[in-house]
Amino acid sequence: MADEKPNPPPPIPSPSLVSQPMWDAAKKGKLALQVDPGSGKAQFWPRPVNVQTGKADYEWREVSGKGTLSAWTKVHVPAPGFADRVPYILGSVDLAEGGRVVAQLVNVEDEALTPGMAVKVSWEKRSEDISVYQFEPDN
Amino acid sequence: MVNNFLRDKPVAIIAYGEVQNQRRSGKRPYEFAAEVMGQMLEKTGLRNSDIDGLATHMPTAEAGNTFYTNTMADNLGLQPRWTQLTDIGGCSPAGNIARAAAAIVTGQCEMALCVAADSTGTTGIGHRRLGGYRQEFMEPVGFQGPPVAFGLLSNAYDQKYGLNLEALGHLAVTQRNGALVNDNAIEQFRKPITVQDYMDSRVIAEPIRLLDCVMRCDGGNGLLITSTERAKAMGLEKLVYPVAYSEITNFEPDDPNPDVTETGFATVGPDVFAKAGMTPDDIDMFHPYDDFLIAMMLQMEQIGFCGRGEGADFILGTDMSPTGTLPVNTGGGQISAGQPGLGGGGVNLTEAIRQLMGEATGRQVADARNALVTGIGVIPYFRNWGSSNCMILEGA
Repeated sequence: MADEKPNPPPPIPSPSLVSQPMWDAAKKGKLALQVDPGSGKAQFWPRPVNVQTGKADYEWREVSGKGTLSAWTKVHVPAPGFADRVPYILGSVDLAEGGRVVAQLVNVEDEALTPGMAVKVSWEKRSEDISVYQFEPDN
Repeated sequence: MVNNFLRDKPVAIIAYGEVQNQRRSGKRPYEFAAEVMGQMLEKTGLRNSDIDGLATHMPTAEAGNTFYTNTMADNLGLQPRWTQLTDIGGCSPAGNIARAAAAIVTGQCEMALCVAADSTGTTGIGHRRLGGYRQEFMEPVGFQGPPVAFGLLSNAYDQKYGLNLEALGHLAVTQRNGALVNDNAIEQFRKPITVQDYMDSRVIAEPIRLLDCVMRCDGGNGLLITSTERAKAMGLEKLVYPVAYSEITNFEPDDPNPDVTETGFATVGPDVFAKAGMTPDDIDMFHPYDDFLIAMMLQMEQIGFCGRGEGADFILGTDMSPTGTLPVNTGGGQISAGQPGLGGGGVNLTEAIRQLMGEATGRQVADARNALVTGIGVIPYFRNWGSSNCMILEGA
């Protein structure tokens, strides 16, 4: 159709001063999280404080990128930039080191998804500097 | 004894106002607020110069106006001695009653206008800047909007308790029947639906269907609140008293892997009943915030009308119509009356006040002495929701 608008590309996240270390690690294919040194609890998304203490006493740690699937939804009405992916699956992943990330699940059909299923991070390069995390089955 | 500054009914709601929800009006929140205030001045015989307090919420349509309440006062010809801008989403209208009550009790103002108005149908939401996690971590992974958050939440509920779509469809039909007799419901929704229509409606983010969701629109609502002493001195007879209130924001922030089926209502539900000295059995009408049907069911469970995982049986076994044992959102709720943007928290609140004043034509609940009204605000980073509140209202 001549009058159809082209699909925009998916958005490229803009790092903040706080989140920059996470995106720097992502560029190298590593998942990095803020961790509370006291309890070992990891938090996602990056915040200006460690939510366990309310202070900026968190440590950045590279984690395994492995986790288990806690919930999922198959999306039929896309977000801007995702029209050519519908239907696509978003999954809520509890990371092995703690913390929860929601991301696109790839290389899997929704019929194959089960609660607690093992998944691992993979990366979608959106620009020279930004790679976005996705998850896929960890067979 | 639980501290409750509302227990002895120090303040009273003396009037409510509401315009019909509309898909795209071309109007701004100021015009709706003017209509709402005009209705109430007409009912009470007050002048705008009698109003010395103003509470607003941050509407989507005016996102970016960092002087919203001031602009509102100027639009309405008000000279408030106390102002309040509340931005806890759908919790804001009931939250403003509590805030205005505190201002009145502490002598900061005497007659407060609490107004909720938005024109999200006209402006859309594209101009908003939500900052933080939404733009950096949600939209770039394909977060399409609230249906995704509630799709994940529904999936988690299904794993834990089993999701009964028929029960949710039953709620959809009950609410739609209310919209049929509510002149302020959005025109597009004033036609009957069946449970099958709910099942067959378009899937947005599994298992969330179109008829699970609210539709954003334009509209406004509000109320006038003053000291009970002054309300009685004015000779007004139709008074509604807020008798207990409880609110929470950012439930359990230190749990990095929370159970998304648990919400702030697990705290504010029991708390509001303790403050009122009541139990769920004492409630005559329930007007829960309804952005999604499953949110209503979760509230029934966590506020204590039934146990965890028992929501579907409770819905299917309870007559929630205006003549039933627990009337619920008798005007259609937001899902069937429309969600006037971030003023949507006032839709069910206004209906509760209308019922307690005996003015709910075509759907009046007989002998309703009280109502429980709730609010939900804000989609956080894949937890449940940001703010939860409960208010118990009593008629005169």
